[in-house]
Amino acid sequence: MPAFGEVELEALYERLEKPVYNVVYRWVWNPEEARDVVQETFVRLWRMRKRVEAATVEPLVYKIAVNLARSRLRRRRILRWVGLDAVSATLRDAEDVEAGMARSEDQARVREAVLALPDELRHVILLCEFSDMDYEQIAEALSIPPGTVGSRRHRALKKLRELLA
Amino acid sequence: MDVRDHETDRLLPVLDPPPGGLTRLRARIRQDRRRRARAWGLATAVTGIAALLLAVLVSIPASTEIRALPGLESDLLAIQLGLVDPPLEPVSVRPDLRDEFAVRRIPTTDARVVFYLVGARSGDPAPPPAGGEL
Repeated sequence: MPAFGEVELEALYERLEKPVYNVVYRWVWNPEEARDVVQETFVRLWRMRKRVEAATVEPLVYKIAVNLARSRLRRRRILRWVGLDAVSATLRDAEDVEAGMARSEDQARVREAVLALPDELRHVILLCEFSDMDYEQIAEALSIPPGTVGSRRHRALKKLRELLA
Repeated sequence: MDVRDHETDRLLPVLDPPPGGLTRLRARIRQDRRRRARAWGLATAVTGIAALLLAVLVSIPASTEIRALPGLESDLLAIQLGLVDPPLEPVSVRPDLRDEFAVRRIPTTDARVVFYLVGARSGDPAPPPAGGEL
């Protein structure tokens, strides 16, 4: 991608919107917030378009998205811990939406299980499940060795099975 | 990477994002462009003003030198020593220059306003009837 312009950005968005959304959703568990994170990811990519390289653009998108999602989750936890009433109310609303999304008890259990995974395992399992990236690219996105991706994916699935047993 | 199997499909089903994502992204890019253009404009204006201020500051001398007129200090000393009477008017000609210069007081209709005409005596035409040398 020698020149990363608006056309290239839109093409990339159309290709990656859904998988990135699915990864981000499993962090924030809120459709609106997940959509915002996906949007913010591509806006940030747009701002840094002069430094974007075709070979690494996809891992870069996931890297940005996961970092943003993690920041949101962290901020939400802090706000909840601080106990800001207005924020808590907003979050309760958000949780109502989430409850709507969790159409079954099974899904709620899955959500709890995914949330219970350590961050490094969650990163790997979500990218393995939803992105079209290979281990090399996932490793690039997470700044870990490629061999670690496979082992973490295996551990994550094992842990999920245990949590859902 | 096609590693999804029946189990992961069940545990982590693929969801569709809310519609209108691309339209929203286009709007955000436009908004971002406008904001950046405004920021650049503001930065340019601030830089221009700063450069102008700097130029003005550089053109002004570091300190304005207030030089006493020649002879003024000795006049003041002479007045303080009582050798010379203090001038009755705020504008006067030093005694040693009185052969060359003259000051003429020109009153106006307003008692609070007075003009002083300072001129060289050489080639000086006959003094006007109003006013005179102090």
